[in-house]
Amino acid sequence: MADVRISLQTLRVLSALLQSPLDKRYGLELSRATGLAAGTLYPILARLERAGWLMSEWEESDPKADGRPRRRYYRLSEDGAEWARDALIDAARTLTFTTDPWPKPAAGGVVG
Amino acid sequence: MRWIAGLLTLIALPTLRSEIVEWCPRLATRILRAAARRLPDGFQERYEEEWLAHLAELPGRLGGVALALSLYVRAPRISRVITGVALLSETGMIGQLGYLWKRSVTRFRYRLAGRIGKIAIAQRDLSFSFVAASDWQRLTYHASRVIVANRDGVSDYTIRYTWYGRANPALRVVGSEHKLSSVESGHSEYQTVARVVLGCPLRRGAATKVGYETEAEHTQAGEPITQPVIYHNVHTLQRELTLGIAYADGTPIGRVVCQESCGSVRRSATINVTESEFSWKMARPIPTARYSLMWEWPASAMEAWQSGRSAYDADS
Repeated sequence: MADVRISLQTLRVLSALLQSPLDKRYGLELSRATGLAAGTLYPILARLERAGWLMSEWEESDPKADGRPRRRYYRLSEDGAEWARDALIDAARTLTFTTDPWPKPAAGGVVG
Repeated sequence: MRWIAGLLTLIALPTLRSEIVEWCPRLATRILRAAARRLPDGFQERYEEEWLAHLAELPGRLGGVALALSLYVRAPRISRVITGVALLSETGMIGQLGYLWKRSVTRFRYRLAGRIGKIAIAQRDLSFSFVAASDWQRLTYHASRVIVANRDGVSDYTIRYTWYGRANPALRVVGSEHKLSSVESGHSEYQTVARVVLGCPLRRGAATKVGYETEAEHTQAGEPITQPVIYHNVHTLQRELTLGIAYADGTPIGRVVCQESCGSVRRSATINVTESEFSWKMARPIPTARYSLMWEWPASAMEAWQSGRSAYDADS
């Protein structure tokens, strides 16, 4: 698996993409689906793309005719879809422990 | 006069508001372009077009400015991601240590005050905390527990600190012993034992020298994996503090943040540890000063430690 830091926000992006792995999604669409602000979303997309989890391509359209710039579409790569599933399964498994990891300090003792 | 001001406000406010709203799209576009220019060459055009498409479809005008501002702020991060430069904030281990120096006329007292780390645990983030206190009379034993969850499983670390001291008219020594043991995913075991020794001459006005000597032993399943030996050297000459933290082979280990508060004077310094030591000049002589030292371990060092290789090997 290509190494990517998996944050909770990353999991949300992966989850949104996995809902329809074959579909291409653009930034605004993903932002709405995940509830993430653009400033959070784009670094995640860049990281996932760099690690090979995502592929991206330009929208096939004429900006002048459409009256807006081209969208950049993202979709999971073949391996990326598999890694994303693994990551979500692992996250579901590892994030379920909710016990307090910080026990109270042990009673003091004097040495020497 | 008041009613004239009120009337003027009533007239001016809607005009001002509409002016601002009219300017918003243009402002957002400008900020977006500036954000894209913060990216490395070769990526600027791509992201500018992508973000402008995002902006064009965003409803509302103020939202566009907010979008542009958030991208402007995060552009350096995106830049680091796409160029592959590791972020310190993505390190595998973050810790914080605080200690308090107190000096009285009759004797030099050394005391370690508690400092708590925080940070939630999720995937590769690791947090830990410890509390330790020590002076000539009071010595404390404390155990902390660290749980790390990542894709490789859940690691459970137990860290035990034993602080002890002994009085000496010329040189007072405070020692500590750290023991870190962990079981990772049930198949690997690591153990680190470190000993720290501090020495402080008594005489006021004399050069104060404090030294750390640390021995570290890393073992995996009983076999030593001792490449990344860490040592610390601290020397204080009244107003100057020199800290050295590095692997024995000279590999840089990360960033050190120092904070000093002495009376109303508060300063902090962030130093990237690229050499085996650095110097830091304090604002005042010691009488009562609090220092905290925060260190971050680069992910490469953490991985190297976990895999039993030196950080030098991991970086190369």
